[in-house]
Amino acid sequence: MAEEVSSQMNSLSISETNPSSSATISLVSGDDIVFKVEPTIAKEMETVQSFIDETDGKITTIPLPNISSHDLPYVIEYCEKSIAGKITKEFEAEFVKKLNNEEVKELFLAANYLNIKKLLDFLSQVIADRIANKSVEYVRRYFGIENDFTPEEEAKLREELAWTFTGVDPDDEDEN
Amino acid sequence: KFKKTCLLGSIYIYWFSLAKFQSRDMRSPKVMRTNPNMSSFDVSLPTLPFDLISEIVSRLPVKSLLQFRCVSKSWKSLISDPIFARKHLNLSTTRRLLCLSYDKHSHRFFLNSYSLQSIFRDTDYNITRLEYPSDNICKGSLSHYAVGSCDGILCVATCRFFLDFKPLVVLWNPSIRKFKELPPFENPPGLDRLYMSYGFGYDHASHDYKVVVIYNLLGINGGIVWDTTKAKVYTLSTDSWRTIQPFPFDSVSSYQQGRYVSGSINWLAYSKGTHQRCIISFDLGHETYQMIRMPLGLERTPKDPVFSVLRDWLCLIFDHDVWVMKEYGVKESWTKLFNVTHLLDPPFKSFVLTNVLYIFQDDQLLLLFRKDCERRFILYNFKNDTSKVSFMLKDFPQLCVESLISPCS
Repeated sequence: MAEEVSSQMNSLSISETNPSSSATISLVSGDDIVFKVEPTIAKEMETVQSFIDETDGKITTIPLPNISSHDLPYVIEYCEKSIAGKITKEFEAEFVKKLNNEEVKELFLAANYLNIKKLLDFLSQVIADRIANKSVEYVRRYFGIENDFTPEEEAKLREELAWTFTGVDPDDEDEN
Repeated sequence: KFKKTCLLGSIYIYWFSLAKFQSRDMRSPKVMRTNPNMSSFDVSLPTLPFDLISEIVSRLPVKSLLQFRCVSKSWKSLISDPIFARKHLNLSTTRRLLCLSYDKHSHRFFLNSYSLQSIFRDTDYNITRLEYPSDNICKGSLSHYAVGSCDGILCVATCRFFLDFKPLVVLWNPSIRKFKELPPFENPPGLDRLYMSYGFGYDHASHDYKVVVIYNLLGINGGIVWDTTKAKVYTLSTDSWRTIQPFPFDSVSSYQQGRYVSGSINWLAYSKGTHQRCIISFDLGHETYQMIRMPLGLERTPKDPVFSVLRDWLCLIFDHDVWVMKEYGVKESWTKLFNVTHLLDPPFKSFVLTNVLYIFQDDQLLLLFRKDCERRFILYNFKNDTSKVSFMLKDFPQLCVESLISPCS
């Protein structure tokens, strides 16, 4: 079932799925919300475009069951700016300011799944900036990585690299 | 069909990673599926597929990367992988200015490393000071020179003749603190060297780092004075020197080092007979020389122009004019980029432009000026013609990218 959701984006209208009505592409999020986008937007998403190409354009409703209706508008917003050639440092700074760590990771996976190279590169840098100069423990928590070194192995490695362990930033609490 | 299978496959992979990611707040539990190809990707990193981890990690600064070798075994092997080091190099944007300096009291050399971003701040220049890691040094402030840097590795060498001292070349990556002393290229007793000039760079054909030395030997044999010029190349993979074709021009201009650009080492060369200058380029892949013409009017100037590299252009500075060769090897592409005479208002009136080090993304230029022993950076905004002066510097800086590339192969 499709729901009605209001959106601030002009070029975006959300309605019930009706593939034959127009040339627009319907992207269906994991929680069954339909986002109608211009074909140019779909072109930015290589995964979606190749699906359309495979079916010679007959299929214009693309289920994206693993992208939530919370994340998809961000992706669409980025693609719109990208098409308009309006990806500036200011836009990117504003774009990520709204996102917490968990959201950035979700968007990063969405960009990877949709194969949007620019967004993936950008979010890779965002995540890198967020973990740069942080502690090893912080990075393990951030990625959910289990420490598989024995205490002796880790102590030895830390000793070898002792000179790098200066000026590490305190862990911030924004982890969710 | 294959593509579709791939798409479905990637959906499954995505599901798997997303499901793990969102284990705390599953938005749509019905999307949980088991991936039949689960064994095909690295289970040691449950939250993100390994190739995606590498996308993020390759954008980290070197210091963080070295620390993060402690995160887990798979992170350690990723960060230690030479293929990863090259990927990181291609994305590395952090540049530092390295100055080799001599401390008269301790008779030791130090490497002062300044963050490029911090040199125009009034406080906190972000200097890292490293001691030259070898005891095999010759005393005296002018005995060692920084030849140049390539891919984060700085080449330092002795460039003058010392009686009982072997010529020494070292490769040093200060970001990872790895240091390598090269074997001596020649050590015959009773020989005098008039000059030595080096070049250091990367050969893309053999994926190897090379050092080239051109040197002049003077000796007396049975009462006869002889004088010969030799050229040798060192390859890092074999850790050895071998003789190459001699330098095809009279001499290298007074103590100038070879400049690395476009897979070649370039020297400003001088002919004693015709008093003519040109650029001799040595292709590191083919190991052949080529002559490159100077811009009209700079071939016979009474004193040497400054010869350097800006971006991937050869660069010549003469009379405060800055020339660049926009297309490597094409004489017609020499372009006069700008002139800086007007920047030198009092109190910098008698300063001389000695190098153009860097062009920032916003078109600002990092210039180096000198007056006697005093050097200063000037940040010059090309667009609105404004400039900003830095603190004073004693030693000549080399621009160096931060990398994980180790000179110890």
